[in-house]
Amino acid sequence: MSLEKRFRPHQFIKFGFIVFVMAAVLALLNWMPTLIQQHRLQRFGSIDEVRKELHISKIYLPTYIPEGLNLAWPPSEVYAQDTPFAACIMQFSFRGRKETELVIQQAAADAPYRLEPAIRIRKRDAGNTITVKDRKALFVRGVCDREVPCCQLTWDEGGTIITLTGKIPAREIVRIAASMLPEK
Amino acid sequence: MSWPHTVIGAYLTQSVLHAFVALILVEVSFHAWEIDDHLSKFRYRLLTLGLPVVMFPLFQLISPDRGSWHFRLSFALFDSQRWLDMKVMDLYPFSLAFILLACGFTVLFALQEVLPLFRYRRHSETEKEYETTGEGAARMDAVLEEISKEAGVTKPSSLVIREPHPILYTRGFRKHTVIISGSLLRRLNDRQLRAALLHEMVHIMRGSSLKTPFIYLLRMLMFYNPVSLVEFRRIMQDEEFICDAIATSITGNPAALSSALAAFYYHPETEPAGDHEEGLAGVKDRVETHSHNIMIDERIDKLHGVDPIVTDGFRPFPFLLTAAVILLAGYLVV
Repeated sequence: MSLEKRFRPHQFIKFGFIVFVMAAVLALLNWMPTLIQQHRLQRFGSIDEVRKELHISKIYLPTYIPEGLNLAWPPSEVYAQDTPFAACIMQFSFRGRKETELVIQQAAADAPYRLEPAIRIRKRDAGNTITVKDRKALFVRGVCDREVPCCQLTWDEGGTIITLTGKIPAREIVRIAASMLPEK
Repeated sequence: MSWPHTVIGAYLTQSVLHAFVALILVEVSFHAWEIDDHLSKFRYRLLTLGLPVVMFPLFQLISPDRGSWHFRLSFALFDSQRWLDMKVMDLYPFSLAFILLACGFTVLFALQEVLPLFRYRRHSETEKEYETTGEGAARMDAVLEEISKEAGVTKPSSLVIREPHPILYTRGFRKHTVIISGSLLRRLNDRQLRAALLHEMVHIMRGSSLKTPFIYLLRMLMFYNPVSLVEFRRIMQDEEFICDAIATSITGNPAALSSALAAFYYHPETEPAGDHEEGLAGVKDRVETHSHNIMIDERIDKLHGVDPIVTDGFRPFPFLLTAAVILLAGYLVV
Protein backbone atom coordinates (compact mmCIF):
# COMPACT_ATOMS: atom_id res chain seq x y z
CA MET A 1 0.00 0.00 0.00
CA SER A 2 1.43 3.37 -0.97
CA LEU A 3 1.89 6.21 1.49
CA GLU A 4 -0.63 8.19 -0.51
CA LYS A 5 -3.21 5.46 0.14
CA ARG A 6 -2.39 5.25 3.83
CA PHE A 7 -2.71 8.92 4.70
CA ARG A 8 -5.07 11.25 2.90
CA PRO A 9 -5.54 14.55 4.75
CA HIS A 10 -8.75 15.48 2.92
CA GLN A 11 -10.39 12.29 4.20
CA PHE A 12 -9.61 13.23 7.80
CA ILE A 13 -11.00 16.72 7.22
CA LYS A 14 -14.16 15.21 5.72
CA PHE A 15 -14.52 12.77 8.62
CA GLY A 16 -13.94 15.55 11.17
CA PHE A 17 -16.56 17.73 9.51
CA ILE A 18 -19.10 14.89 9.50
CA VAL A 19 -18.48 14.20 13.20
CA PHE A 20 -18.91 17.91 13.95
CA VAL A 21 -22.23 18.04 12.02
CA MET A 22 -23.46 14.96 13.83
CA ALA A 23 -22.57 16.42 17.24
CA ALA A 24 -24.39 19.63 16.29
CA VAL A 25 -27.51 17.69 15.23
CA LEU A 26 -27.50 15.71 18.48
CA ALA A 27 -27.12 18.92 20.51
CA LEU A 28 -30.02 20.46 18.58
CA LEU A 29 -32.20 17.39 19.20
CA ASN A 30 -31.27 17.59 22.88
CA TRP A 31 -32.30 21.23 23.05
CA MET A 32 -35.64 20.88 21.23
CA PRO A 33 -37.64 19.35 24.13
CA THR A 34 -36.90 22.42 26.25
CA LEU A 35 -38.86 24.48 23.71
CA ILE A 36 -41.85 22.17 23.91
CA GLN A 37 -41.79 21.50 27.63
CA GLN A 38 -40.38 24.20 29.82
CA HIS A 39 -39.74 23.93 33.54
CA ARG A 40 -37.91 20.63 33.23
CA LEU A 41 -34.77 20.10 35.29
CA GLN A 42 -32.31 22.86 34.52
CA ARG A 43 -29.61 24.93 36.13
CA PHE A 44 -30.48 28.27 37.70
CA GLY A 45 -28.25 31.16 38.74
CA SER A 46 -29.80 31.52 42.19
CA ILE A 47 -32.62 30.46 44.50
CA ASP A 48 -34.45 33.72 43.73
CA GLU A 49 -34.40 32.83 40.05
CA VAL A 50 -36.00 29.46 40.86
CA ARG A 51 -38.71 31.17 42.91
CA LYS A 52 -39.38 33.61 40.07
CA GLU A 53 -39.51 31.11 37.23
CA LEU A 54 -40.99 27.96 38.76
CA HIS A 55 -44.05 27.31 40.87
CA ILE A 56 -42.48 25.37 43.72
CA SER A 57 -44.68 26.12 46.71
CA LYS A 58 -41.89 26.14 49.29
CA ILE A 59 -38.15 25.96 49.03
CA TYR A 60 -36.50 24.86 52.28
CA LEU A 61 -33.32 26.82 52.89
CA PRO A 62 -30.79 26.37 55.71
CA THR A 63 -30.28 29.30 58.05
CA TYR A 64 -27.21 27.66 59.55
CA ILE A 65 -24.06 26.97 57.59
CA PRO A 66 -21.16 25.91 59.85
CA GLU A 67 -18.49 28.61 59.89
CA GLY A 68 -15.61 26.30 60.61
CA LEU A 69 -16.18 24.08 57.59
CA ASN A 70 -15.52 26.85 55.06
CA LEU A 71 -18.70 25.99 53.13
CA ALA A 72 -19.59 28.74 50.69
CA TRP A 73 -22.97 30.49 50.65
CA PRO A 74 -24.90 30.85 48.33
CA PRO A 75 -24.91 27.35 46.84
CA SER A 76 -22.43 26.89 44.02
CA GLU A 77 -25.01 25.16 41.82
CA VAL A 78 -28.81 25.27 41.89
CA TYR A 79 -31.03 22.96 39.82
CA ALA A 80 -34.80 22.83 39.84
CA GLN A 81 -37.83 21.59 37.95
CA ASP A 82 -41.62 21.84 37.93
CA THR A 83 -42.15 18.98 35.46
CA PRO A 84 -42.70 16.03 35.80
CA PHE A 85 -42.58 16.74 39.55
CA ALA A 86 -41.39 19.63 41.72
CA ALA A 87 -37.78 19.36 42.82
CA CYS A 88 -34.97 21.67 43.87
CA ILE A 89 -31.32 20.73 44.32
CA MET A 90 -28.66 22.91 45.93
CA GLN A 91 -25.01 21.95 45.79
CA PHE A 92 -22.46 23.49 48.12
CA SER A 93 -18.69 23.44 47.89
CA PHE A 94 -15.87 24.69 50.06
CA ARG A 95 -14.71 28.25 49.35
CA GLY A 96 -12.19 28.32 46.52
CA ARG A 97 -12.88 24.71 45.55
CA LYS A 98 -15.10 23.15 42.93
CA GLU A 99 -15.90 19.77 44.41
CA THR A 100 -19.40 19.40 45.87
CA GLU A 101 -19.31 18.79 49.65
CA LEU A 102 -22.99 19.10 50.55
CA VAL A 103 -26.19 18.53 48.58
CA ILE A 104 -29.59 19.63 49.81
CA GLN A 105 -32.44 18.43 47.71
CA GLN A 106 -36.18 18.42 47.96
CA ALA A 107 -38.61 16.52 45.75
CA ALA A 108 -42.30 15.69 45.75
CA ALA A 109 -42.96 12.51 47.78
CA ASP A 110 -45.06 11.04 44.94
CA ALA A 111 -42.27 11.47 42.34
CA PRO A 112 -42.18 8.51 39.90
CA TYR A 113 -38.40 8.26 40.18
CA ARG A 114 -35.59 9.50 42.41
CA LEU A 115 -33.09 12.18 41.53
CA GLU A 116 -29.91 10.69 42.95
CA PRO A 117 -27.69 13.26 44.72
CA ALA A 118 -24.48 14.30 42.98
CA ILE A 119 -22.59 12.99 46.03
CA ARG A 120 -22.76 9.24 45.52
CA ILE A 121 -22.68 6.98 48.56
CA ARG A 122 -20.78 3.85 47.51
CA LYS A 123 -21.16 1.85 50.72
CA ARG A 124 -23.83 2.55 53.31
CA ASP A 125 -24.98 1.16 56.64
CA ALA A 126 -28.59 0.16 57.36
CA GLY A 127 -29.27 3.55 58.89
CA ASN A 128 -31.15 4.56 62.01
CA THR A 129 -34.06 6.83 62.79
CA ILE A 130 -33.32 10.07 64.58
CA THR A 131 -35.51 13.02 65.51
CA VAL A 132 -34.93 16.44 64.00
CA LYS A 133 -37.24 19.09 65.44
CA ASP A 134 -39.91 16.47 66.16
CA ARG A 135 -39.63 14.94 62.66
CA LYS A 136 -38.54 11.36 62.26
CA ALA A 137 -35.62 11.22 59.86
CA LEU A 138 -33.49 8.39 58.48
CA PHE A 139 -29.81 8.87 59.13
CA VAL A 140 -27.32 6.84 57.07
CA ARG A 141 -23.54 6.72 57.36
CA GLY A 142 -21.51 5.62 54.40
CA VAL A 143 -18.43 5.95 52.25
CA CYS A 144 -18.36 8.14 49.16
CA ASP A 145 -15.93 8.44 46.23
CA ARG A 146 -12.22 8.17 47.08
CA GLU A 147 -13.16 6.43 50.34
CA VAL A 148 -14.30 9.71 51.94
CA PRO A 149 -16.72 9.19 54.86
CA CYS A 150 -20.10 10.79 54.25
CA CYS A 151 -23.65 10.72 55.57
CA GLN A 152 -27.23 11.29 54.52
CA LEU A 153 -30.33 12.50 56.30
CA THR A 154 -33.82 12.08 54.80
CA TRP A 155 -37.33 12.90 55.99
CA ASP A 156 -40.80 13.65 54.70
CA GLU A 157 -41.80 17.25 55.28
CA GLY A 158 -45.53 17.31 54.56
CA GLY A 159 -45.33 15.60 51.15
CA THR A 160 -41.86 16.82 50.26
CA ILE A 161 -38.90 14.50 50.69
CA ILE A 162 -35.89 16.46 51.89
CA THR A 163 -32.45 14.84 51.61
CA LEU A 164 -29.13 16.18 52.81
CA THR A 165 -26.03 14.36 51.64
CA GLY A 166 -22.61 15.57 52.66
CA LYS A 167 -18.98 14.80 53.17
CA ILE A 168 -19.09 16.81 56.39
CA PRO A 169 -19.42 15.66 60.04
CA ALA A 170 -22.74 14.01 60.96
CA ARG A 171 -23.59 16.49 63.71
CA GLU A 172 -23.26 19.37 61.24
CA ILE A 173 -25.62 17.70 58.80
CA VAL A 174 -28.19 17.38 61.60
CA ARG A 175 -27.71 21.03 62.61
CA ILE A 176 -28.12 22.24 59.03
CA ALA A 177 -31.26 20.10 58.66
CA ALA A 178 -32.71 21.53 61.87
CA SER A 179 -32.06 25.07 60.65
CA MET A 180 -34.22 24.42 57.58
CA LEU A 181 -37.32 23.60 59.60
CA PRO A 182 -39.83 25.66 61.52
CA GLU A 183 -40.82 24.41 64.99
CA LYS A 184 -43.76 22.00 64.92
CA MET B 1 -43.35 7.61 32.99
CA SER B 2 -40.70 5.78 34.99
CA TRP B 3 -39.52 2.89 32.76
CA PRO B 4 -36.79 4.95 31.00
CA HIS B 5 -35.32 5.55 34.48
CA THR B 6 -34.80 1.86 35.19
CA VAL B 7 -31.60 0.01 34.22
CA ILE B 8 -33.42 -2.17 31.67
CA GLY B 9 -35.22 0.85 30.23
CA ALA B 10 -31.93 2.74 29.95
CA TYR B 11 -30.27 -0.25 28.25
CA LEU B 12 -33.10 -0.61 25.73
CA THR B 13 -33.22 3.06 24.78
CA GLN B 14 -29.48 3.60 24.78
CA SER B 15 -28.69 0.47 22.77
CA VAL B 16 -31.11 1.60 20.06
CA LEU B 17 -29.71 5.15 20.10
CA HIS B 18 -26.13 3.88 20.09
CA ALA B 19 -26.95 1.64 17.12
CA PHE B 20 -28.39 4.62 15.22
CA VAL B 21 -25.34 6.74 16.01
CA ALA B 22 -23.03 3.91 14.95
CA LEU B 23 -25.03 3.34 11.76
CA ILE B 24 -24.81 7.00 10.74
CA LEU B 25 -21.12 7.24 11.59
CA VAL B 26 -20.28 4.02 9.75
CA GLU B 27 -22.27 4.99 6.66
CA VAL B 28 -20.69 8.44 6.47
CA SER B 29 -17.30 6.86 7.13
CA PHE B 30 -17.64 4.94 3.88
CA HIS B 31 -17.98 8.30 2.16
CA ALA B 32 -15.26 10.06 4.17
CA TRP B 33 -12.67 7.28 3.94
CA GLU B 34 -13.71 6.47 0.33
CA ILE B 35 -14.44 2.84 1.15
CA ASP B 36 -15.87 0.78 -1.71
CA ASP B 37 -14.69 -2.73 -0.95
CA HIS B 38 -17.02 -5.08 0.87
CA LEU B 39 -14.28 -6.54 3.05
CA SER B 40 -13.83 -3.18 4.76
CA LYS B 41 -17.58 -2.53 4.80
CA PHE B 42 -18.11 -5.91 6.47
CA ARG B 43 -15.73 -4.97 9.29
CA TYR B 44 -17.18 -1.48 9.75
CA ARG B 45 -20.72 -2.87 9.87
CA LEU B 46 -19.72 -5.29 12.59
CA LEU B 47 -19.11 -2.17 14.72
CA THR B 48 -22.74 -1.13 14.20
CA LEU B 49 -23.99 -4.58 15.11
CA GLY B 50 -21.62 -5.39 17.97
CA LEU B 51 -20.79 -2.18 19.84
CA PRO B 52 -24.35 -1.27 20.92
CA VAL B 53 -24.61 -4.64 22.70
CA VAL B 54 -21.71 -3.83 25.03
CA MET B 55 -21.58 -0.04 25.14
CA PHE B 56 -24.10 0.59 27.94
CA PRO B 57 -22.70 -1.97 30.42
CA LEU B 58 -19.15 -0.95 29.56
CA PHE B 59 -19.85 2.75 30.15
CA GLN B 60 -21.71 2.05 33.39
CA LEU B 61 -18.75 0.00 34.56
CA ILE B 62 -16.27 2.74 33.73
CA SER B 63 -18.43 5.59 35.00
CA PRO B 64 -21.40 4.61 37.21
CA ASP B 65 -22.50 8.26 37.40
CA ARG B 66 -23.04 8.43 33.66
CA GLY B 67 -26.77 7.78 34.03
CA SER B 68 -27.27 10.43 36.72
CA TRP B 69 -29.30 13.56 36.11
CA HIS B 70 -26.15 15.58 36.75
CA PHE B 71 -24.28 13.90 33.89
CA ARG B 72 -27.31 14.17 31.62
CA LEU B 73 -27.65 17.88 32.30
CA SER B 74 -24.01 18.88 32.35
CA PHE B 75 -22.15 16.58 29.94
CA ALA B 76 -24.52 14.60 27.72
CA LEU B 77 -24.72 15.49 24.06
CA PHE B 78 -28.16 13.91 23.86
CA ASP B 79 -30.42 12.89 26.74
CA SER B 80 -33.12 10.43 25.64
CA GLN B 81 -35.13 10.99 28.82
CA ARG B 82 -35.91 14.55 27.74
CA TRP B 83 -37.97 13.07 24.89
CA LEU B 84 -39.25 9.96 26.61
CA ASP B 85 -40.50 11.87 29.68
CA MET B 86 -42.29 14.44 27.55
CA LYS B 87 -45.97 14.56 28.45
CA VAL B 88 -48.56 15.87 26.00
CA MET B 89 -52.22 15.77 27.04
CA ASP B 90 -51.68 13.09 29.70
CA LEU B 91 -49.78 10.91 27.23
CA TYR B 92 -46.11 10.18 26.75
CA PRO B 93 -46.04 10.13 22.92
CA PHE B 94 -42.32 9.48 22.43
CA SER B 95 -42.13 6.86 25.14
CA LEU B 96 -45.17 5.15 23.64
CA ALA B 97 -43.72 5.37 20.13
CA PHE B 98 -40.48 3.82 21.33
CA ILE B 99 -42.28 0.93 23.05
CA LEU B 100 -44.42 0.31 19.95
CA LEU B 101 -41.34 0.39 17.71
CA ALA B 102 -39.45 -2.05 19.92
CA CYS B 103 -42.49 -4.36 20.20
CA GLY B 104 -43.03 -4.23 16.43
CA PHE B 105 -39.46 -5.24 15.70
CA THR B 106 -39.61 -7.95 18.38
CA VAL B 107 -42.66 -9.44 16.65
CA LEU B 108 -40.87 -9.19 13.31
CA PHE B 109 -37.85 -10.93 14.81
CA ALA B 110 -40.04 -13.70 16.21
CA LEU B 111 -41.77 -14.21 12.85
CA GLN B 112 -38.61 -14.00 10.75
CA GLU B 113 -36.02 -15.70 12.89
CA VAL B 114 -37.54 -17.66 15.79
CA LEU B 115 -40.61 -19.21 14.20
CA PRO B 116 -38.68 -20.75 11.26
CA LEU B 117 -36.23 -22.25 13.78
CA PHE B 118 -39.09 -23.98 15.65
CA ARG B 119 -40.64 -25.14 12.39
CA TYR B 120 -37.29 -26.50 11.25
CA ARG B 121 -36.79 -28.31 14.58
CA ARG B 122 -40.24 -29.86 14.49
CA HIS B 123 -39.71 -30.84 10.87
CA SER B 124 -36.29 -32.41 11.54
CA GLU B 125 -37.68 -34.37 14.52
CA THR B 126 -40.42 -35.95 12.45
CA GLU B 127 -38.58 -36.66 9.22
CA LYS B 128 -35.18 -36.58 7.61
CA GLU B 129 -33.95 -33.11 6.70
CA TYR B 130 -33.58 -33.92 3.04
CA GLU B 131 -33.83 -36.97 0.87
CA THR B 132 -30.43 -37.56 -0.67
CA THR B 133 -29.75 -38.86 -4.13
CA GLY B 134 -26.62 -40.37 -5.61
CA GLU B 135 -27.31 -38.74 -8.95
CA GLY B 136 -24.46 -36.40 -9.91
CA ALA B 137 -22.43 -37.25 -6.79
CA ALA B 138 -19.43 -38.38 -8.82
CA ARG B 139 -19.47 -35.12 -10.80
CA MET B 140 -19.61 -33.09 -7.60
CA ASP B 141 -16.75 -35.08 -6.14
CA ALA B 142 -14.57 -34.55 -9.18
CA VAL B 143 -15.13 -30.77 -9.30
CA LEU B 144 -14.61 -30.42 -5.53
CA GLU B 145 -11.38 -32.43 -5.77
CA GLU B 146 -10.07 -30.14 -8.48
CA ILE B 147 -10.94 -26.81 -6.85
CA SER B 148 -9.81 -27.91 -3.37
CA LYS B 149 -6.35 -28.49 -4.80
CA GLU B 150 -6.49 -25.14 -6.56
CA ALA B 151 -7.59 -23.26 -3.44
CA GLY B 152 -5.28 -25.24 -1.15
CA VAL B 153 -7.97 -26.42 1.28
CA THR B 154 -9.08 -29.84 2.51
CA LYS B 155 -11.69 -31.27 0.21
CA PRO B 156 -15.14 -31.08 1.82
CA SER B 157 -17.63 -33.90 1.48
CA SER B 158 -20.72 -33.35 -0.61
CA LEU B 159 -24.37 -34.28 -0.54
CA VAL B 160 -26.81 -34.11 -3.43
CA ILE B 161 -30.39 -33.73 -2.22
CA ARG B 162 -33.71 -34.33 -3.95
CA GLU B 163 -35.14 -30.81 -4.01
CA PRO B 164 -36.77 -28.81 -6.83
CA HIS B 165 -35.47 -25.42 -5.60
CA PRO B 166 -31.94 -24.21 -6.35
CA ILE B 167 -30.05 -24.89 -3.11
CA LEU B 168 -26.33 -24.69 -2.48
CA TYR B 169 -24.74 -24.17 0.91
CA THR B 170 -21.98 -25.42 3.16
CA ARG B 171 -22.51 -26.74 6.67
CA GLY B 172 -20.19 -27.89 9.44
CA PHE B 173 -17.51 -26.18 11.51
CA ARG B 174 -14.46 -28.42 11.17
CA LYS B 175 -15.64 -31.01 8.68
CA HIS B 176 -17.50 -29.22 5.97
CA THR B 177 -20.18 -30.64 3.72
CA VAL B 178 -21.33 -28.91 0.56
CA ILE B 179 -25.03 -29.50 0.01
CA ILE B 180 -26.53 -29.04 -3.44
CA SER B 181 -29.97 -29.74 -4.83
CA GLY B 182 -30.16 -32.24 -7.70
CA SER B 183 -32.19 -29.75 -9.76
CA LEU B 184 -29.46 -27.13 -9.48
CA LEU B 185 -26.73 -29.62 -10.23
CA ARG B 186 -28.52 -30.56 -13.47
CA ARG B 187 -28.93 -26.92 -14.47
CA LEU B 188 -25.28 -25.89 -14.04
CA ASN B 189 -22.68 -26.76 -16.64
CA ASP B 190 -19.16 -27.68 -15.49
CA ARG B 191 -17.87 -24.13 -15.78
CA GLN B 192 -20.76 -22.70 -13.75
CA LEU B 193 -20.61 -25.51 -11.18
CA ARG B 194 -16.92 -24.91 -10.69
CA ALA B 195 -17.51 -21.17 -10.08
CA ALA B 196 -20.40 -21.84 -7.68
CA LEU B 197 -18.44 -24.44 -5.70
CA LEU B 198 -15.42 -22.17 -5.56
CA HIS B 199 -17.67 -19.55 -3.96
CA GLU B 200 -18.57 -22.16 -1.31
CA MET B 201 -14.89 -23.01 -0.90
CA VAL B 202 -14.16 -19.34 -0.17
CA HIS B 203 -16.83 -19.47 2.57
CA ILE B 204 -14.90 -22.42 4.08
CA MET B 205 -11.57 -20.57 3.76
CA ARG B 206 -13.03 -17.46 5.42
CA GLY B 207 -14.57 -19.51 8.26
CA SER B 208 -18.08 -18.25 7.46
CA SER B 209 -19.68 -21.14 9.33
CA LEU B 210 -17.95 -19.96 12.51
CA LYS B 211 -18.53 -16.26 11.94
CA THR B 212 -22.20 -16.47 11.01
CA PRO B 213 -23.48 -17.92 14.34
CA PHE B 214 -21.55 -15.21 16.21
CA ILE B 215 -23.04 -12.48 14.03
CA TYR B 216 -26.46 -14.09 14.42
CA LEU B 217 -26.02 -14.08 18.20
CA LEU B 218 -25.39 -10.32 18.12
CA ARG B 219 -28.54 -9.92 16.04
CA MET B 220 -30.52 -12.06 18.51
CA LEU B 221 -29.34 -10.06 21.51
CA MET B 222 -30.66 -6.91 19.84
CA PHE B 223 -33.96 -8.50 18.74
CA TYR B 224 -35.91 -5.25 19.37
CA ASN B 225 -33.46 -3.04 17.52
CA PRO B 226 -34.36 -1.95 13.96
CA VAL B 227 -30.75 -1.06 13.15
CA SER B 228 -29.57 -4.57 14.01
CA LEU B 229 -32.16 -6.07 11.68
CA VAL B 230 -30.91 -3.98 8.76
CA GLU B 231 -27.22 -4.31 9.55
CA PHE B 232 -27.38 -8.08 10.03
CA ARG B 233 -28.76 -8.48 6.52
CA ARG B 234 -26.20 -6.11 5.05
CA ILE B 235 -23.35 -7.95 6.76
CA MET B 236 -24.61 -11.23 5.34
CA GLN B 237 -24.80 -9.60 1.90
CA ASP B 238 -21.27 -8.21 2.27
CA GLU B 239 -20.07 -11.73 3.08
CA GLU B 240 -21.58 -12.99 -0.19
CA PHE B 241 -20.02 -10.11 -2.17
CA ILE B 242 -16.63 -10.83 -0.59
CA CYS B 243 -16.82 -14.53 -1.47
CA ASP B 244 -17.93 -13.68 -5.03
CA ALA B 245 -14.99 -11.31 -5.43
CA ILE B 246 -12.44 -13.80 -4.08
CA ALA B 247 -13.87 -16.69 -6.12
CA THR B 248 -13.74 -14.55 -9.27
CA SER B 249 -10.18 -13.47 -8.55
CA ILE B 250 -9.18 -17.18 -8.38
CA THR B 251 -11.02 -18.26 -11.56
CA GLY B 252 -10.52 -15.01 -13.46
CA ASN B 253 -13.92 -15.73 -14.97
CA PRO B 254 -16.73 -13.56 -13.54
CA ALA B 255 -19.08 -14.61 -16.36
CA ALA B 256 -19.14 -18.23 -15.12
CA LEU B 257 -20.17 -17.20 -11.60
CA SER B 258 -22.73 -14.67 -12.81
CA SER B 259 -24.39 -17.25 -15.09
CA ALA B 260 -24.35 -19.73 -12.19
CA LEU B 261 -26.01 -17.11 -9.97
CA ALA B 262 -28.78 -16.69 -12.55
CA ALA B 263 -29.84 -20.24 -11.71
CA PHE B 264 -30.66 -19.11 -8.16
CA TYR B 265 -33.55 -16.82 -9.11
CA TYR B 266 -36.82 -17.88 -7.49
CA HIS B 267 -39.79 -18.15 -9.83
CA PRO B 268 -42.77 -18.83 -7.54
CA GLU B 269 -45.20 -18.31 -10.46
CA THR B 270 -43.84 -21.48 -12.08
CA GLU B 271 -44.54 -23.60 -8.96
CA PRO B 272 -47.70 -25.68 -8.62
CA ALA B 273 -50.65 -23.69 -7.19
CA GLY B 274 -50.81 -25.81 -4.02
CA ASP B 275 -47.24 -24.80 -3.05
CA HIS B 276 -48.14 -21.15 -2.54
CA GLU B 277 -48.83 -19.87 0.96
CA GLU B 278 -51.98 -17.79 1.39
CA GLY B 279 -52.63 -14.62 3.41
CA LEU B 280 -49.88 -13.05 5.54
CA ALA B 281 -47.52 -16.00 5.05
CA GLY B 282 -47.98 -15.60 1.29
CA VAL B 283 -47.11 -11.90 1.46
CA LYS B 284 -44.05 -12.72 3.57
CA ASP B 285 -42.96 -15.34 1.01
CA ARG B 286 -43.44 -12.93 -1.89
CA VAL B 287 -41.43 -10.20 -0.12
CA GLU B 288 -38.65 -12.68 0.67
CA THR B 289 -38.62 -14.00 -2.90
CA HIS B 290 -38.45 -10.46 -4.24
CA SER B 291 -35.58 -9.46 -1.93
CA HIS B 292 -33.76 -12.71 -2.75
CA ASN B 293 -34.00 -11.95 -6.47
CA ILE B 294 -32.86 -8.35 -5.92
CA MET B 295 -29.85 -9.69 -4.05
CA ILE B 296 -29.01 -12.02 -6.95
CA ASP B 297 -29.38 -9.06 -9.36
CA GLU B 298 -26.98 -7.03 -7.26
CA ARG B 299 -24.39 -9.79 -7.13
CA ILE B 300 -24.60 -10.31 -10.89
CA ASP B 301 -24.31 -6.55 -11.50
CA LYS B 302 -21.18 -6.38 -9.40
CA LEU B 303 -19.67 -9.30 -11.29
CA HIS B 304 -20.53 -7.59 -14.60
CA GLY B 305 -18.68 -4.54 -13.44
CA VAL B 306 -21.72 -2.21 -13.29
CA ASP B 307 -20.81 -1.59 -9.66
CA PRO B 308 -17.23 -2.85 -9.61
CA ILE B 309 -15.72 -4.31 -6.45
CA VAL B 310 -12.77 -2.07 -5.65
CA THR B 311 -10.23 -3.66 -3.37
CA ASP B 312 -8.49 -0.68 -1.81
CA GLY B 313 -7.34 -2.71 1.16
CA PHE B 314 -8.40 -2.42 4.76
CA ARG B 315 -6.85 0.52 6.60
CA PRO B 316 -6.74 -0.01 10.36
CA PHE B 317 -6.22 3.62 11.44
CA PRO B 318 -9.43 5.05 9.94
CA PHE B 319 -11.25 1.98 11.25
CA LEU B 320 -9.96 2.50 14.79
CA LEU B 321 -10.69 6.22 14.59
CA THR B 322 -14.28 5.51 13.52
CA ALA B 323 -14.68 2.97 16.34
CA ALA B 324 -13.29 5.50 18.86
CA VAL B 325 -15.69 8.20 17.66
CA ILE B 326 -18.63 5.77 17.91
CA LEU B 327 -17.62 4.94 21.49
CA LEU B 328 -17.16 8.59 22.43
CA ALA B 329 -20.47 9.64 20.85
CA GLY B 330 -22.17 6.68 22.53
CA TYR B 331 -20.76 7.72 25.89
CA LEU B 332 -22.33 11.15 25.49
CA VAL B 333 -25.68 9.80 24.28
CA VAL B 334 -27.65 8.73 27.36
